[in-house]
Amino acid sequence: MEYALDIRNLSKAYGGFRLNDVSFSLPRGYIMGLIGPNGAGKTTVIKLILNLIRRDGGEIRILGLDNLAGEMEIKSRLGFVHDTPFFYEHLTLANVRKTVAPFYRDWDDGQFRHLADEFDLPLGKKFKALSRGMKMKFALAAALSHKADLLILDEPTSGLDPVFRRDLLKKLSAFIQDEGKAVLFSTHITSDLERIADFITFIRGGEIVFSSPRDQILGAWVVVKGGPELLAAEHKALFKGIRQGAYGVQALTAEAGEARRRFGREAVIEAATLEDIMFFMTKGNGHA
Amino acid sequence: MLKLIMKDLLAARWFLLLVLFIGILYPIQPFWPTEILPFMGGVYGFIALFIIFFLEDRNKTEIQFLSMPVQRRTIVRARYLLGSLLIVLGGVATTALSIIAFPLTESGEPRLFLSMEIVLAFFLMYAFGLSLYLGCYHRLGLGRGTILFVIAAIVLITLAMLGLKGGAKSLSIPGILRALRAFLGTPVFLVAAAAAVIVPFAVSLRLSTRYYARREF
Repeated sequence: MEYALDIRNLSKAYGGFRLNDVSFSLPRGYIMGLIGPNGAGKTTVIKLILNLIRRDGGEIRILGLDNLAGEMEIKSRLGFVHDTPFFYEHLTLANVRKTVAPFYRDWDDGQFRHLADEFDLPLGKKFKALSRGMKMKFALAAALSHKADLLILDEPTSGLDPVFRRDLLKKLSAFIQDEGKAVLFSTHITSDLERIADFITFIRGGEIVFSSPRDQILGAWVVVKGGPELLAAEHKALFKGIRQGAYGVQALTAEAGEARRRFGREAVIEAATLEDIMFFMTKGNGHA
Repeated sequence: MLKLIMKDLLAARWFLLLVLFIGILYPIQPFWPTEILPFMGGVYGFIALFIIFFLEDRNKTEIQFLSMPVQRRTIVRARYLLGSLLIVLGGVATTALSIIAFPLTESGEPRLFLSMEIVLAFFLMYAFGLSLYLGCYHRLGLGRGTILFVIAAIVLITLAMLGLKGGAKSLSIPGILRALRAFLGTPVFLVAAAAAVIVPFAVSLRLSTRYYARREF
């Protein structure tokens, strides 16, 4: 399989934080969601992909090229949106475009103007006068205007209204219809990923917890809701996280079949959402 | 490299025009001597460069441009080229202004703004200053780099002035250069002067490239 992004054994010690042996792959033609709690290492992974920080070990291959040796070629074919767009705030959007466009050999000004219209971007207005949502829209328009093969989006939907968020998700789905393209999408809004992501990579404390197809995750992970019998020692190994509250016990497991066999009639078993998985895996050994 | 320079000039164009306006006002102010006007052009160049770096730093645009197809070494080279251009343009503009505003001395003699020694003194002084500033900037960042440069510049200028005062009364940098030219002969003198401009510049560029390659954002 040809990968748009292939990360192997990536490590980085960075300001008291350690990214440890991170590996995952994103095939062409797919969208991958990168999820994890704050400080898990999502932005560090993205910075390493973009060479904004230097890796201590491991390998990053983007569109078949090493991200250090093939940096210029890769970045020509890579669109990105940072969690905060870093453009000259005092310039108008039309002038900000002038600072960005000349650096891309495949910049498509028609596409940029089309997106600016579609996103209602006021090109005569100064960047600093825009809301966070509008700034993100501008960054997205720039990322989608130079025929990128890989989009890397760091929290692109935070600050966006639900209507535009849905439009964006549609746009990303349309983007990967060309099977040579792919999207890596880091977000806290896991419901967005349930709509469009083909793969989910969950990172916590600088380590990958899983990186698997979305349907496989959502089919295998369940939340078991029952009484204190769930806390019995023989069940502990089954659960990835347990929450105990005034109204009973909830536990997360990646073995839906085994959970149904053990607790079929004694407990309520519900399909886990990505948010459930993130919550239990992060806070899952305590009281609710 | 030119795209980066054009980007910087576009981002800072109004601020640069303000610097130019202040430069034009200099000849009509009564407090500072008019003889140093051509040398002020270099100072304006430094101020313009600082403004460009300040805008970049305040908006964190380095993160944006380093995520784009731009190499770090190209960014460093573009800064050296832009700094050189601003200083030379500042020098040329203020020299032209000096010739127009003060063509003659009080005794009616033409002023010697364009003597070889004066031009060389300008290049030597500012090439060294720019090499020092950009080295400090790439090693320490805008805030600490600029403070260190200003302190180093004050110390060096003070030492140079003390050294000159300790010598003969007529001793000056152009005077020393004139004596050196007479001693070495013009061709050797010019080669030595070019080396004195190029060597610190090249060393600083090499070190800055190395510092910037290691920097994390």
